[in-house]
Amino acid sequence: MNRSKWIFFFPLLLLGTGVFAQDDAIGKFFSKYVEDSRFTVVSISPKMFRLMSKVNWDTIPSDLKQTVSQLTSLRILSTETTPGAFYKEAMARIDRKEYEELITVRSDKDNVRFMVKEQGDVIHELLMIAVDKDGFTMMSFVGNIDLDKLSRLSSDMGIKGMENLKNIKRK
Amino acid sequence: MNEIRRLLEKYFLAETTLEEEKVLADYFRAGEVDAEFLQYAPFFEYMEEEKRVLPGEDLEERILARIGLAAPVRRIKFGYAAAAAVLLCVCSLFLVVRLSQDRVDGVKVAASGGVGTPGKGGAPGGVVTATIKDTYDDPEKALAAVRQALLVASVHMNEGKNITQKNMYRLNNSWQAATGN
Repeated sequence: MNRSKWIFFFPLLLLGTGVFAQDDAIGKFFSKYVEDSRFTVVSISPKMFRLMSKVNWDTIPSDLKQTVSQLTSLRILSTETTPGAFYKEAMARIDRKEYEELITVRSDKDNVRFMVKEQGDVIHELLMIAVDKDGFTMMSFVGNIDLDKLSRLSSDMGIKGMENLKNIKRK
Repeated sequence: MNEIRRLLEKYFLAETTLEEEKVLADYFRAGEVDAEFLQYAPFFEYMEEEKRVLPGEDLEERILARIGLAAPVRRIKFGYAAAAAVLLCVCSLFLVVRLSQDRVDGVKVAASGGVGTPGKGGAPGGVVTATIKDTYDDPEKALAAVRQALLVASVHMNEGKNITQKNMYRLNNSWQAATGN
């Protein structure tokens, strides 16, 4: 009898994961504006992340490589139209029970917030919302995120990394 | 005596009536058995003894116990079936939710293909596909975008520490150039 109790309990576990699977609170925000021509959308699926393993990684720094390999999806939404309004809307839509505020950087010109969704001790999603007078950007990284590595990325690469960025874009 | 002999012959031919058998039984039970029939006495004694063997008082309980032993086995089997059914229901529910989500993703991303991506021929917003479509077809381009996004996030994270505001804006500008705005 004890065993069959477990058998009944197991589906409940599955159900639990099913509920967790509907992770993106910001998914609603994305789906609302994905077809909006005011927004620029970048979406990279888990499938594409898997395909990336076939890319030549020789020129990629190991920290970056490790960070990327732990990601499963990336979505970016950005706009230059009424950034303040979209920022407010995005902040209002975020479920504070799910997303924990990590870093807030506020200056006179811009406002950046990092929020994380944790499952256990693992950061499962990193959400960045940035706004200044020129634009509003929302980025969602889903995967296994190591904040230490992420913050090291820019310091390791420094200015050189950003120069590379520019080149990438022109391609 | 002749009567008894006749009845015995009938008895062994299995032609006696119940009454006649009773007469025989009474005769042998009485104990005064003629030497002629002495050989049959143990047989009738045995029959008498056997008649006295009655089912024990707990027979019913024992039968029920036997049945009761069988019943849980059947119930367990039913339990497995129920568990399997529940599992199936939950799994299919789970799958339906997942699939419908994927479909939403597919629509979403397919639509996004037309918005900000260079080199894509899809009609903006009108493409509805069941499969997930990426903004980028080329893993290298996708990787470049991821790298860039990570950098932006990283830079923002370190903002005020080792990155100056000026560099921040350069990054932002280049970011916007890359995403087509």
